Amino acid sequence: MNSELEKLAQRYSADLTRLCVSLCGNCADAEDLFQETWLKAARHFHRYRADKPFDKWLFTICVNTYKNTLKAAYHRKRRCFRTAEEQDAFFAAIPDAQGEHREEYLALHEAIAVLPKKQRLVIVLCYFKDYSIKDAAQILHIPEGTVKSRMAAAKATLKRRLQND
Amino acid sequence: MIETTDERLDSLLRHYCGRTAQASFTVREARRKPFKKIALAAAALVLTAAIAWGAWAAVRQRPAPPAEEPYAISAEKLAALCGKGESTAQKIAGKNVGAWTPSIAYADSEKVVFDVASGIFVFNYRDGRLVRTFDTDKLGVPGFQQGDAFSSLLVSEDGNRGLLTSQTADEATGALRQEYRELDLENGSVKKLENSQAFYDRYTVFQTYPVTPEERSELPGWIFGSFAAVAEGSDYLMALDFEQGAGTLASLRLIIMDAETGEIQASVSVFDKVYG
Repeated sequence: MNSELEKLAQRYSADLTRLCVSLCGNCADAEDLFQETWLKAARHFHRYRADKPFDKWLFTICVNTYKNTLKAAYHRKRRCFRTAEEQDAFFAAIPDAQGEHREEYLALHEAIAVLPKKQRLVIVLCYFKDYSIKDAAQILHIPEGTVKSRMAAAKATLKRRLQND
Repeated sequence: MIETTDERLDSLLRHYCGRTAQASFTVREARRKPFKKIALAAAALVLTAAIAWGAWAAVRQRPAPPAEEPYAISAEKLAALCGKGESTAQKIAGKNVGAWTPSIAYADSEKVVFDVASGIFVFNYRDGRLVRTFDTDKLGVPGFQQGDAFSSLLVSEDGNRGLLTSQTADEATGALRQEYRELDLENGSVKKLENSQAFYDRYTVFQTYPVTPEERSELPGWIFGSFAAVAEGSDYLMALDFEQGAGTLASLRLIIMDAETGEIQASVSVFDKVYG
């Protein structure tokens, strides 16, 4: 990895980690996605245009990798925690998810797991870094109207599932 | 039951997705090492195979096949070649493509299977003929057109069978229902599978998208990368190109190009009018 990319890796690894974990729903798959994203970023770094935001370029690679490598049925299975320790580690990184709120986040995690992948991508992208609809549309290569409709559908589903939980 | 207001859902999502980075991963250079071993082993195998092939070819008095080269198509080359050999194919008039992401589920040297909001289509790009259509009514999946229910479309390696996975939420209870439908891409029939376990038992041979991310990333920005596919066993690369207007898609074009030289063999308009 060249020194410029190393500096960028130091700066954006935390953000990328958050995105990967939120998309995959477990740390093992998230780390694979994280590594795969950086490998591709390093391989294609010559194509990155410095006048564009690096984070969006990186997150686009991450989103495309996520879309292309994980099949829906397989992914839904993998979002389940295999051990209690794995579950504890996952929620430990969410300060608000401790004590009485734990159940709420567990229900949210399960609700996100069964969202259609297209809706999950929109929700995660817009919330993990406060991206605007326009930013999310650019990263996902879809019209802004589509982001809005998927966001509304995703929120309605999440709300319904949380209330029925 | 959890009382969830819009504000609370916002807060939950913000905390969930904006988790602290205390478990931040680090970039592992060491990850490449196993690949290096695998690559060396593969190279040794290829070398052995090449020697064996060379000996066989000498016996048969046939020249050895050219070394396989990775696909390398630059955005500039594509942009320069764009528009060559354009022809008009049979239109799918009046179909509502919608605005959600279409994708190619299968491609071979003759046909491509892709899904859009209006359904699933089998398109023969050699003669520009729409071979088969599975529109939303025929599929019988509630919410398919809105993109709410569709999960994935898999196509068997021979390109003759498709498997549509969908999930729908019960309005009253919120319970999710997973459904599987087997599509016969040859005769156009749709069969709903009643036993979901049968899906896992029967469809282990289904392939993923045949295009690699590297090939996809070679495509320029005006082609939505995830719609590209390389036909297995052929030298053609296909991409569905969408030109979009104000929130709607204006056209959809199938581009077939020589993956090695980047030369466009045909550029076929599949849709020329799309409703938002």
